[in-house]
Amino acid sequence: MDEVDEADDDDLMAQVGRRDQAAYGSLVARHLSSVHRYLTRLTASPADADELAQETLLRMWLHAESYRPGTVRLTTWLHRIAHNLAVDELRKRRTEPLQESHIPADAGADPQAALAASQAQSQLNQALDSLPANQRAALLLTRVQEFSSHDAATILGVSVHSVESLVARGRRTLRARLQQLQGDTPEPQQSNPT
Amino acid sequence: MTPQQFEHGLDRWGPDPSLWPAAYAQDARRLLDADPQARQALATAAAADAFLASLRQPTVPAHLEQRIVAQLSAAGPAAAAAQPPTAATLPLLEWLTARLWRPALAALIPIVAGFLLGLGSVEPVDHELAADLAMLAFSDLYAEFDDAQQ
Repeated sequence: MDEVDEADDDDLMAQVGRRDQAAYGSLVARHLSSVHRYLTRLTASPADADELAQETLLRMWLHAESYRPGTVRLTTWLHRIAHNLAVDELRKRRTEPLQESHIPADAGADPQAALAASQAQSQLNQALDSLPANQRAALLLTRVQEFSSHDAATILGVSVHSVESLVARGRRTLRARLQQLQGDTPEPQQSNPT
Repeated sequence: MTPQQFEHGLDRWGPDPSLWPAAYAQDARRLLDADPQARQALATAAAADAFLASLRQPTVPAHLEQRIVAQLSAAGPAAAAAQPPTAATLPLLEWLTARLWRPALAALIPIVAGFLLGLGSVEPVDHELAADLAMLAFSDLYAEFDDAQQ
């Protein structure tokens, strides 16, 4: 691991502020995956996620001077940029027909199991995509991206209490949608939930 | 605990009652033993949570990282190399904007400097020269006055 890789995000951002492209490349390698995953799940469109992730990281380069080390972590700052770009994109889509989710299910070796997994995955994706954007964002940030409620609140620009409320409502809505999609499923056999 | 309270707990603390506050966890286990609908709600919540956890896998395509790094060059030398003016001047700007008196102080600096410069360049008055200049000035006025009289 070279010296650039060992430097922490704040040091790398200081170098990006001095127009160091190697430092920029290191930060892209570090944060692209997380930002792209969030954008993919939030917009339900890998193509949009590619574009928005690219724009997010370009803004990191262009606006490196507005990053304040010590007040917010770089990943939180980047997710806030990404979130705002995604919200703009979702607003644009209001006048267009909603897209189907194009996120492929993970196929296994067994074709029947793969089909069942694909159907279940499709149902779950559909349930997630049908959530209101703010509930989906709060769930994704806390349950998928594993941000604290405090960091999620910074990204969404709301209070911690609002994030917790959005997560609870998101879970409830997701559970209700899943029950609708699954229909009347048989009661699980095991009585011990843990 | 009622089924509604149990579902509220699922939404608030998730599908693992062992992670709930102790007082609620014990009640939740009792309800789960007795109520099939609570077990159904728990199973659905657990499926939703497992699904969300499964979304942690990477989604980024292989080519995207190279494309993003390359876009600096594609955007042209201005985007790749231009120093944002704030990068160099940011500490000074931050200092200036942190307190109200600081920009006022900064504005006073050239005024005070100008005043001091002016004081330093004052020379003693040459009274003879001043008298000559005054005479020249008055002689013009008198000349104009005489012309008018004529």
